[in-house]
Amino acid sequence: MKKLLEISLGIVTSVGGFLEVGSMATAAQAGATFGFRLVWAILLGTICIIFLVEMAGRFAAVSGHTITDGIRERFGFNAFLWPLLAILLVNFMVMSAEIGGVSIAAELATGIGFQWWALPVAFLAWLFLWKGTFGFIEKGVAILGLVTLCFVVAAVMLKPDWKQVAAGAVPGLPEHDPASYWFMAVSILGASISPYLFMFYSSGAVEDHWDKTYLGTNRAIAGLGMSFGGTISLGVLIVAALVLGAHGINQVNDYHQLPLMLIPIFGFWGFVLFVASLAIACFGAALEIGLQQAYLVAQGFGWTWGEDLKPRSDPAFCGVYTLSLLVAAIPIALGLDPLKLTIFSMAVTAASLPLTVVPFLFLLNDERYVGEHRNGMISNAAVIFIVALGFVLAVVSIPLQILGGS
Amino acid sequence: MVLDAWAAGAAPSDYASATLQSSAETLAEAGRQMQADNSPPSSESRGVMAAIGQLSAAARRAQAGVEAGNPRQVSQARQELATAATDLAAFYARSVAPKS
Repeated sequence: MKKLLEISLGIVTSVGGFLEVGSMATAAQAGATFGFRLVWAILLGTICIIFLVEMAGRFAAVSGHTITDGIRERFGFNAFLWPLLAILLVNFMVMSAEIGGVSIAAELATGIGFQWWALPVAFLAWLFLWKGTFGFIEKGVAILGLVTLCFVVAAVMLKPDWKQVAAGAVPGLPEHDPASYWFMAVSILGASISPYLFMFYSSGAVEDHWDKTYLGTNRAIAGLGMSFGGTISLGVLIVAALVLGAHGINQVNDYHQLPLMLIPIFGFWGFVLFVASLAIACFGAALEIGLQQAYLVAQGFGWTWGEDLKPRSDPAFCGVYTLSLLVAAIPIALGLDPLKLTIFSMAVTAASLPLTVVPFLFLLNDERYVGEHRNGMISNAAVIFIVALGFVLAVVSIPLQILGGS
Repeated sequence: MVLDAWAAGAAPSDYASATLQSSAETLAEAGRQMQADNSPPSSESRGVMAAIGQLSAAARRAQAGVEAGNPRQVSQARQELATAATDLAAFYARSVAPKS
């Protein structure tokens, strides 16, 4: 019964924490511009993150190590430095985008420009991390994040042609604007497979003292939680295709367009639901990334770490999330467009994936760490294929998008 | 779309106003960009630029109507937006049509 409760809570947490500014913005742009044609990118991203999250939990439960710990120990500090720098940079961009997401929600709710909200949002996030416990951060905000299920409800209420949606699950060439199409596909993959998601999950498993008895729980949470989470992204894409596309909005290049997705379905409550979804989802993600930056540096340098410890017991750990939040708020406070930053940072995330995922795969195939619980052929092949696809598409499409100027 | 939502009471005035302002600025920027790219402009591109200018101006008037809470002004601006959008589509179709 206790295990069932843990699984249920884990799934709820995964669902509530899945949607963030990246998955929301990329799915909305993809739906408005290309209808259901990029459903396949969400499916591939979701499959990959299911595998990665399951591996992250299994690694932590069997070895007692976090991923960062494992990579540093297995490859040495010099080799670990490159993935560390890549993840820190990608996380910085994504955290900035998340702070931007909360700031946009605050602007939509109050009419005061988003720039003015960046530093207060960062301060509020810092206060949550300073005062909160791991359980509060992980479960509290994620449970509130269940409000994002409104996109799934909206998608069902719109009664889409499910055959057309299913047809989008098969990758195909676009009828127009191929550079933008592939760039969107890359951004969706980057949003779905953000390294902070699975690295945070492994640190969480260690914080929660998982052992081998949690392997079943881990599998259920990874499989069901991430699948339901992917369904929310799919809901956003369907709603954007049917609402924005149908009203002639084929380009989402201004965040003011986003609340229009839910207004025709729920009226004024659609506006409220959108603002709440954006604020809660992005705030939750900003907290998780802030913690992840601190985990990364503290574990990488062998410092004392733990969100449940008092700040005076792990001052360097707290210093890292304090500094990370402050620095990430600066670009938004200076007026950088959060939507453009989001889309770009998601594509960069996809390009950086080999640096983080490949060393992780080595660990998951190393008997010294996971013994008989090594990866199987299917999980290795699936993750390598999707990450390689994301990398190749990113390398090709990011320059094209930059040169195209859109 | 945002004007429909505002008229139905489904979108707050601050949000509708900011959205219209942003649209007007984007349109004005697109017009300036087009002017810079088409020097000297052909008659078709002149028509497209004029229609973009009308759209931008109509969006500004709609914004002013929303801020003033004046549904009649907003309704009039919506008509102007619709007319300018039709003109833009016609000029654009003419400018991309193959020359005989």
